Amino acid sequence: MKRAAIILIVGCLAACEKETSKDASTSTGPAVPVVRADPVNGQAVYVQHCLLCHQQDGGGVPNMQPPLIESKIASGDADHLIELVLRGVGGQSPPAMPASGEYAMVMPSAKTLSDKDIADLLSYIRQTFVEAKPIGAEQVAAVRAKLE
Amino acid sequence: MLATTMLLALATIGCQPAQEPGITLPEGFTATIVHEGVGPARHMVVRDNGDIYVALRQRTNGGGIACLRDADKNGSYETIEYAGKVQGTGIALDGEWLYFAEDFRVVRFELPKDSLTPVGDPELIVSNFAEETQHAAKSIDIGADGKLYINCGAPANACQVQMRTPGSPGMDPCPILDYAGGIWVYDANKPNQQHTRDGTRFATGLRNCVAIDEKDGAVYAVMHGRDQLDSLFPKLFSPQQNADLPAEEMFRLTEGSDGGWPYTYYDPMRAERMLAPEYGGDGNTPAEEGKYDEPIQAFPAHWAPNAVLIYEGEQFPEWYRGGAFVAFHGSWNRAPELQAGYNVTFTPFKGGLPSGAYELFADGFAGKDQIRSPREAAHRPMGLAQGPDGSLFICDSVKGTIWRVTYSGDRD
Repeated sequence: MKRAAIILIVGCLAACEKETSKDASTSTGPAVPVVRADPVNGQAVYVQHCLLCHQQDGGGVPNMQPPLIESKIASGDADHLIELVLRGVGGQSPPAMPASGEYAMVMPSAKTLSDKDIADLLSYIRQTFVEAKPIGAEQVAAVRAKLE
Repeated sequence: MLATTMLLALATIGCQPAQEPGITLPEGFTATIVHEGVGPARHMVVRDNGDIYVALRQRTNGGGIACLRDADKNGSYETIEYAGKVQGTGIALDGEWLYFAEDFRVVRFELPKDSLTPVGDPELIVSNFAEETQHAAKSIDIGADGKLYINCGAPANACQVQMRTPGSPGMDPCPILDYAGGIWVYDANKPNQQHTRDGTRFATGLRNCVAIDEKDGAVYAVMHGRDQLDSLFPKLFSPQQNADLPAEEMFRLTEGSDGGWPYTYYDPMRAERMLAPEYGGDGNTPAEEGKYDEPIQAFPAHWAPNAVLIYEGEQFPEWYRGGAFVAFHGSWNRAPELQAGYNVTFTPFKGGLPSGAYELFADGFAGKDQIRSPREAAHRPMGLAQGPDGSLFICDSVKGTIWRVTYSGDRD
């Protein structure tokens, strides 16, 4: 049952990705780079690094970890989201970004993940728990370069 | 053994039938909802006259202390008032003083005899706690000798060099233990004390013991065990192993006790203290023998013990007297496995120590059989208190529902 549900989600994401690519390729405006995210890898990264705290359904844990569902940060500015994941949130160790105070837990930096893994992960989150455009590996690399 | 004793609650204002899910109890016990929701409840105490005081995580109706009274003693707490510009977890009574523990300070209010609400401004008792968010909630208890016991949870999972980062080693020695990860003792009657300058470290090596109950100079404490064995050390632990490891440990702490955090964890299947992976452990290497306290009871992993109460009443049968009730808030970090806990257990004691295994006492708080994420739970047990007639009070953190458990069964 669980496996079937995962396959369904992956199938949907794959379809969404295809649709996005098609739209971009038929556009008559200036060439816009097509962001190709791998939802299967994105989900795998989520399961390994994020699921425990943010939960399988992205709902978070009250007072502990914030939900990703309908999160304005998850659906908002991509550079800000990438920076947040690269730096981490809360705790006493800079360069983590300051926490809002609403949630008790800290989020570790994910800077050891590759640009592609972070891009796939954030694209998975942005297409599963919120509705927002996917993020490409080159965009992660650009933010990482600015921070270093 | 557990028969279901469902209760309809008639005890709220106007005696309206409660809509909350019923809880299950052993045969002979009855639960009545005395209030359906006082707010985001944390710990709770009951005064000699039966008045209930609940600490709230966030101020509600202007106050962080919900004060409830059953004036006509019919079981219905018809009066509720909110008082105190505070918010937090710990609450304790000592004569005509009501102590309240916010995350970063402990204060007390005057509570004159017969007054339902505390009066005047809070008096600062202890401050200067590290302002770090993880495990910041302070739980407190006051001994008969005027000692104030404060649980100072460690702002960490396992004292890693890089917080909650895969593969990061543990700091050795762990510097957090100098100011947290233990229980400190202060003078309950001395204002303006500073943590740690004016206190004494009573017990160390305790990751976070929200559940504490002092009895005769010893502290019964149940610890939140560490998280993330699998996600931090995926080559050593599987997600299933993380769901079952480590135990939530109950200790009987005396001065100088050491619960072994962050260097060790307790494996309930092996019934053995193990070396933590941040300090060279691999899931199969026991910790140095005799160096740390042994748990007096090992509970399943991640159930989140948030209150313990040594029962001293006479209303419940002999089996329960002197034993330990533990309220489990319910897990979040068993994911992707199903979550567990969300109940109240009982452990029988003889001579101040467990005389048998724990048993499920109250269940059904979550309102459904399978919980995948904590936010699905209708209620999460959070606080315990004993009433003057020996009734057991339970409160939950989701709505602040308060149950009163009484016994009317066979006494033979």
